[in-house]
Amino acid sequence: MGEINSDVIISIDELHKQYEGVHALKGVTFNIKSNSIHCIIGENGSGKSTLIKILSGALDRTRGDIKFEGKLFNPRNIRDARNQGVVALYQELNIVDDLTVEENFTLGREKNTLGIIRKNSDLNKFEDIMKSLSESISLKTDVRDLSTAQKQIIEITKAISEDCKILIMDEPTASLSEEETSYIFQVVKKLKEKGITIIYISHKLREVFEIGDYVTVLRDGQMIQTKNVNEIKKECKGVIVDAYNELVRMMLGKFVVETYIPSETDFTQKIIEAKNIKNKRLKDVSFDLFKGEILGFYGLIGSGKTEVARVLYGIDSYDGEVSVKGRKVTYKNIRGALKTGIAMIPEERRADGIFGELALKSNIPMMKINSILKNGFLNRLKENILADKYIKKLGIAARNRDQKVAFLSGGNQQKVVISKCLNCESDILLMDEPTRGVDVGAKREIHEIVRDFVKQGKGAIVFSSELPEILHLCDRMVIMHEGKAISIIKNSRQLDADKITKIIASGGVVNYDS
Amino acid sequence: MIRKENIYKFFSSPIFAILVIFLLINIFFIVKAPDSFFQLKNYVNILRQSATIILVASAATILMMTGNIDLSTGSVVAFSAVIYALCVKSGLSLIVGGAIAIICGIIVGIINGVLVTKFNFPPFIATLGTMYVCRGIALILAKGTTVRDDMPLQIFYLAEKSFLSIPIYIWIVIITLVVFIFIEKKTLLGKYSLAIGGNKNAAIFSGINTGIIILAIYIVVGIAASFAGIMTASRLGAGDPRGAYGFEFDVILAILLGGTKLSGGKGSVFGTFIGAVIVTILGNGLSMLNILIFWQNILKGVMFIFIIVLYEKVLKNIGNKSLISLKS
Repeated sequence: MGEINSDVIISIDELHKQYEGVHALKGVTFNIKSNSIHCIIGENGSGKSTLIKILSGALDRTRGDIKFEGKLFNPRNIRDARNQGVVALYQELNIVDDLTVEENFTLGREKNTLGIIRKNSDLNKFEDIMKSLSESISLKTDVRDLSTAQKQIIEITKAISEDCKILIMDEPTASLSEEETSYIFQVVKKLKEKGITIIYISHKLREVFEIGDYVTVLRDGQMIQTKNVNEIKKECKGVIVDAYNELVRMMLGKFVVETYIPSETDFTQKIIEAKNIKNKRLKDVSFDLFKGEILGFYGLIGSGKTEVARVLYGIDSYDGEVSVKGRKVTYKNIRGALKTGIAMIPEERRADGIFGELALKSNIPMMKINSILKNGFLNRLKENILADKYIKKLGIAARNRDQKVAFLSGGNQQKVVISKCLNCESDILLMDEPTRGVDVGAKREIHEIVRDFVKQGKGAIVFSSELPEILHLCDRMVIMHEGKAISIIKNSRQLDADKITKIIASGGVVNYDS
Repeated sequence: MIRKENIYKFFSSPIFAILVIFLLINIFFIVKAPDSFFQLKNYVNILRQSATIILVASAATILMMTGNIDLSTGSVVAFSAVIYALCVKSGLSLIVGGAIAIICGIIVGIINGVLVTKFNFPPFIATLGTMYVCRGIALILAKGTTVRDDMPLQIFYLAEKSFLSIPIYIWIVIITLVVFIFIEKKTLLGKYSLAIGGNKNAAIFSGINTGIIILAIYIVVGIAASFAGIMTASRLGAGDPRGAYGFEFDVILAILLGGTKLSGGKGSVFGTFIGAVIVTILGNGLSMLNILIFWQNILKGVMFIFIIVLYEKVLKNIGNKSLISLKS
């Protein structure tokens, strides 16, 4: 603890929050040290969202004290908390795509003469702060041309230009690629150098070890432990995997380790054979999928893995040949793909996967409406039975089958999307980033569902930018780089992330062994 | 637990709110005009007056559930009324004339649907275009005047005859409600409309043929509007190319009053029915109180804004409160 100033900036004492019927926080007590990066982790429902909402002034507490710099901290609303120096950045970005960076900065505080906008003198300050965080953004760029990470930098700049002392970041890397994540991490470290205290919420435990100074684990509304990250590392003798499992144990209250379990693949039966697929984004991709196999596509954003999924699902056109179960396919749209027996779980769950405003039970039959028809008309009883079947089978945590899907947690929403796909009884499941923004427990459950699926003599293709996911789940992995499949590697328990990274770095020596 | 929740849901739903408003409006007029308003005859009259709005608005509710809108309905009413009148005038039977008018409605529906689904026109622009075109064609066909001469007496039958001592207009209202509530609740068209309006991308990713669905609903709206044209011509015994001005907005007003969202994903044919009746009752009741038509319009507008604010601000907050507490 020597290297950081150990003064306590926030102390939370016996914090309770009760909603009607739900006790979301049950007496949480811990301190946050000044100028540290303090991670808060916990499963969905553990109370971390409630906690940060109270800290940022978005919610009232039921009982308990928060002291900020030694004084009682009772923000009336978000604005009030902001004025006192506590700012929260939420996952949904708060900036206007149609404006330039500069216009976004001054939005709402334009200086004007009779309604005509004058140059804002604060702009220099903005520019200085932004440049100190990241050199790559220019004030005159349109925001729509920026990456998600760069947009976050703009939000951060806006926040700290207002004298922010504590910055709360709620899963800032949830939708970022690895590259962008490391870019955000650099910025977070620079913020710390500027003397800002950061409260960092994440589902990705790896990140705790990469940037965290302290970590608080919440479970069921209770504080399980607050620890110095370096101490955890020391206890585990520097073995990151052990430290990682230790955190999972604290979060779940039980010890679970996920390792690769080989599927029973029938290598005599190809269910997909793709040869020399090319289009605007893809330069020559060939691969096979066998019966009972989980195939992984790994690559960074822009490597072409999502494009492969889009080709197989009939969204994008291509040159080359795709055969499903020995027959060349010619479908040109999603309906054709579904008829051929290919279903897809899209990358953007909210945008493309769920019908948020509809009830859970209405979502499930959407890909195969026949399953709830009786004499050609919708049958409520069949719909209910179907919903109950999947709620039970996949362990969807919902109040009941009539609940709107928008109000489920990320993991449960994803289970609804998977139910939709399972219900259409396809032979091949394409899963684009199947566990993005999903907590550790649900992640494992989803992986189990995929394993169960291929056991029935079917095949799954997982497209992921998370290497651990590919390593835990897939039997073979196709490494994508700049639109090419540079290598196909057979998985084994000996394989680890380092080896894969080396293959990518070397430009991919193709060693096709199956 | 579930039951309690459903009760809560009902009381914070637009349907409940509009029923209360409907009741309040009735009480107001019953008190103000006790002799003339609260009569079975008057209520039947109100239903007859609102029959065309109910018919077109029910179809257009399904359309709005997909997030689409049709501004051409008023023009199609006038257009098909003129076609019907011209056909009957030239000696064709009522059935044949009606069929031709409905085919015209189908054609407009196809044009609207194709513009929106194949050429990706925003619905507002596509149907604004057909609105002007249809009105123009109606005026040209009728040579700028109302087609009224040489009409057979039978043309009034639809508007004036009864079946089982219930006026045919009322039968039309009943059949409309049964058919469209059935479409809404029990058919793929209803289910898919909600899905498309709720999240079009997810619908496409789920393999739903969104184009065909939207096209089909535009055609249904076209049929409903042309039938409303036939009804209008039957009531007047003439085809008026200048008739049904602003009808499309009365339709949209009724749908929005009924709690259907302009952006789609949520809607109710029953709500639209009540909405349509409210629009008509306001006119009917205020006329009885001898209030000028100009004031009626103002009251209609104020009422509309008040109810939408009620839905968007008040009910939503009540609904959210109950949800937030259960969310985390």
